[in-house]
Amino acid sequence: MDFKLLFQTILSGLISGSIYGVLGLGFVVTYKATRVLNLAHGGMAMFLAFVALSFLHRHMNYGLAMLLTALAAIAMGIMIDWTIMRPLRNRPPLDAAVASLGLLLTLQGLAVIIFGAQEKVFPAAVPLRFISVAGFNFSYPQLLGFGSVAVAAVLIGVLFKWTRAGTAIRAYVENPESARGLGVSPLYVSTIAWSVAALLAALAGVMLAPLTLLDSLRMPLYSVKALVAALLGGLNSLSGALAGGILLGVTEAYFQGYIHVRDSVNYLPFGLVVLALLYQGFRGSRRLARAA
Amino acid sequence: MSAKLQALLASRRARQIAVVLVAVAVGSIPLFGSHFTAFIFTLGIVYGLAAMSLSMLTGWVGQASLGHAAFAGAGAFATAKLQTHGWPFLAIMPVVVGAALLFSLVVGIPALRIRGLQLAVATLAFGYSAERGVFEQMGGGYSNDTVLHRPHAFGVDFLNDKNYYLLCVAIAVVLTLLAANLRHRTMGRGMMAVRESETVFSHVGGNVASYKLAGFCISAVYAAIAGVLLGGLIANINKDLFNVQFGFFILAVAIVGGMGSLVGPYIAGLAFAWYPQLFAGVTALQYWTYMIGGLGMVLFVLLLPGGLVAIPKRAGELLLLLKGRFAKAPEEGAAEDTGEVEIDLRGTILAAPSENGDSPTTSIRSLAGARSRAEVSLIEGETGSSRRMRGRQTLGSGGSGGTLLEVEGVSISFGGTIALSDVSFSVQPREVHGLVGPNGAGKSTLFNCVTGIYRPQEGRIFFKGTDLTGLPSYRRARLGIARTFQNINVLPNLTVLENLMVAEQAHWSGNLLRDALGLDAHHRQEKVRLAAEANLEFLGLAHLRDAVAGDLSHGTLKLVELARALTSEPEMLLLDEPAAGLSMQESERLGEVLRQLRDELHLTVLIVEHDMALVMGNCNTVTVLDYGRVIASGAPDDVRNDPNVIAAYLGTTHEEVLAQ
Repeated sequence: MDFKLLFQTILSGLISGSIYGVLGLGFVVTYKATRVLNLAHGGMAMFLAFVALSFLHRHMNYGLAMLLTALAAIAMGIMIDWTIMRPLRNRPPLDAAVASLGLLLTLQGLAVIIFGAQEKVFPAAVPLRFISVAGFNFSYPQLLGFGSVAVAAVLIGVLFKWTRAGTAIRAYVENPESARGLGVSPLYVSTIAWSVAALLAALAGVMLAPLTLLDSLRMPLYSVKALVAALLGGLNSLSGALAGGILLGVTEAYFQGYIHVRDSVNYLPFGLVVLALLYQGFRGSRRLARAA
Repeated sequence: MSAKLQALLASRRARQIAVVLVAVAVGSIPLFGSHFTAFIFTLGIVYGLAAMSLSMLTGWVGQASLGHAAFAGAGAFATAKLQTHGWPFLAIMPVVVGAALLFSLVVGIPALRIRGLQLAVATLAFGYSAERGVFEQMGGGYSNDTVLHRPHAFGVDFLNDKNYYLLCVAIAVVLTLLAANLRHRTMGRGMMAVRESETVFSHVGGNVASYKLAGFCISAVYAAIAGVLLGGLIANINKDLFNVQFGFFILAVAIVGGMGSLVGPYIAGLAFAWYPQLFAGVTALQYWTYMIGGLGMVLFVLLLPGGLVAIPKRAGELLLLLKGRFAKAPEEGAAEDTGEVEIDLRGTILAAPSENGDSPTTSIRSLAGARSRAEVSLIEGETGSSRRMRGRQTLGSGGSGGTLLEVEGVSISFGGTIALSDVSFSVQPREVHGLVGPNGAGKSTLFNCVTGIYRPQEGRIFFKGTDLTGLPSYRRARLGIARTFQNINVLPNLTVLENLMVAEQAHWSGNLLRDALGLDAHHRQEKVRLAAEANLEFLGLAHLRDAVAGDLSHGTLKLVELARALTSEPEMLLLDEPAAGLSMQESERLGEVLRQLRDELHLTVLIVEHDMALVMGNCNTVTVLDYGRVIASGAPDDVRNDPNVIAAYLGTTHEEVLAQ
């Protein structure tokens, strides 16, 4: 077996997997805090990538463009929360899911109207150069990608564990009634959650765009990968979603590189979901036995 | 006049006739129009059928599917494939149904065992994998379409769009009628109970997982049939026809039509089929279709909850608002009940209609009324409840004379907290057995162990000699254990009668085919209804028969729970703090009901209660729990004087008590 090839395969799996992980993370943030199954998450990533691209097309400095995109993401999150999610707060959960579906279509339509229907090339942040460590090649974009994901994960962790907003959100997720009694506003929790989710969507979008062509119809389908990543992590766990995404990415890369059955990689999302559900069911019945 | 009109509009029969008339009128439009009109209408009907499959799944079982396009695609591709092998259309249909069942089991069995939105994610992944995998290979890119031929049957040329339209309408009508049949029988009622509360459903003997799975399978079969019809309409099928977005699309159609409705999806389907025609020919607007459609969906969900079918209701509310009578609107249901109360209560001492069912006082007065009525009925030997009693006497005497419930060394801990530690006691047949102890002593935990919510880590529980350990809740309910909950647990959007009728699950789990075809069901439905009505009568709730459970007061709902438990015809009744929130007088009356349950209905009652007067006055045996251990068990008087019990209640140690 060629270990170098295996290493490169795993490495490329890790990079796409960490993007899935960031998508899953964004999905879990809103699901956890507001119980909304956000089907527009991939669409948000797509739209924000287009926004970033339009900044870059104005020959803006890459860092500045990313900063403005982040601001645009926060604005988008707040807008989605205020106009759609808040009014639907006390309605059956499926209503919000369907509204998010409408949002997905709206974003796709808007992207085509504003940015055009043809696929766009998204420039990479750093040139495609390699550094070699012990005979293994790492590319600059890969390193930057890992760095960004790691920073984002740490920031999210800090936000939830050590800030007042994070504590409020965790309290609200744990027990909405008593959190409200202690002065946590559900509206505040929801606004924070949607802003953070939009930021994560933007990050996933600009990481994904250089790897594929930016296209308003295809990228929203990454919602599927986001949901699968989130489900692999148990649908409720932030770190689980990240790990789930990486698992999905690495398995995909392995299938693409080593399993030469046509389209086999496309059966992966469903296969993994079934395995995860079987495992959860098994663990659930054991948990019942332990009654913990 | 307006009142008459309203009554007419409100009558179900009148509404049904109106719906049928309008449907026939609209449905015959294509017969006089062009072939293109027929095409669009067929598209609308097929969208409607696909959306109806989702409307049933979500509106009835409370589950969501994002991958129904895959079932539709599976039906279409299977048909096309088998046609290339020369199979006739009619022979293919059983295969399509079988394939849909198989796939829905593969997706549903792992996903539906877990509570929550897992099915939505699993079906989405299924849809994605089906589109990119199977469909890609069977009918990949645009150049590689598969052709699905319309059937040639009964000498009719279905290549004619109008004939094909009629075929689709006929199939849709048959499938919708089957679904409508299901809805008002055991299966449909059970599915809605699952949507409302899985806990309640399993505690009256319903198998939650199998009902969810049944709902999902029916839904998948309907979607597959819709897929075949869509394929036949378009003729050239490829993976893009049944992609993930199509799954999203039919979900949108279902939401716009109204979840749970059988008619709404067709209206929405027709609207969605026409919608793109508004933009046809205007290339510049082509890209706006998406955005306007999306925005429309968002606005629709925001502004019109309940979908198109809810418009008359919303309009009615608006009308009332305009008339300045909005404040009275919520009382509409109550007003109807009041009328019945007056008829129902001739000569009895029940509440004045104005207070009807609104306070614990009322409910306990109803108890008193029920008692007197039950006594009368005993003398006359006429009403359902007395018939039930006689039936039970023979049933009860058939049981073994020994212990009914045996709890043996049960221990359970949560994290580090020991909730129950080596708890043993037994309940004899036809006794009222009290379970008391300070808060946190483990009483409700013990109930949950007996009914199967928790599984003890050590020890066993026997009921009539059967080891309950490891049996799911619904199996225990079927053995004859019924319970009420400390926190009210009813099916809020169903009527009181429906809440009770769900308890039929303890003895009859429903049969999909029979219920859909309406075979033999009438007799059984009637029997269940009579039993439920007898129990309402017994507890003085008869006037609330058609009230929606969610509108009733706490005290009334406690009685509804008791009535539901009785309707499952149990041998043993577990009551979790039935007197909580009642006055002393009221709990005295509750005591009378307890004795009635034991002496007249020959039930065994295990009751958790803090009201000591109630417990000591009515129980044959009392078991005292403290910190998860049994500290005393015996006749009320012995237990009352037990030093351990005094210590537990007064907060002193055993030694201190002895010293005094």
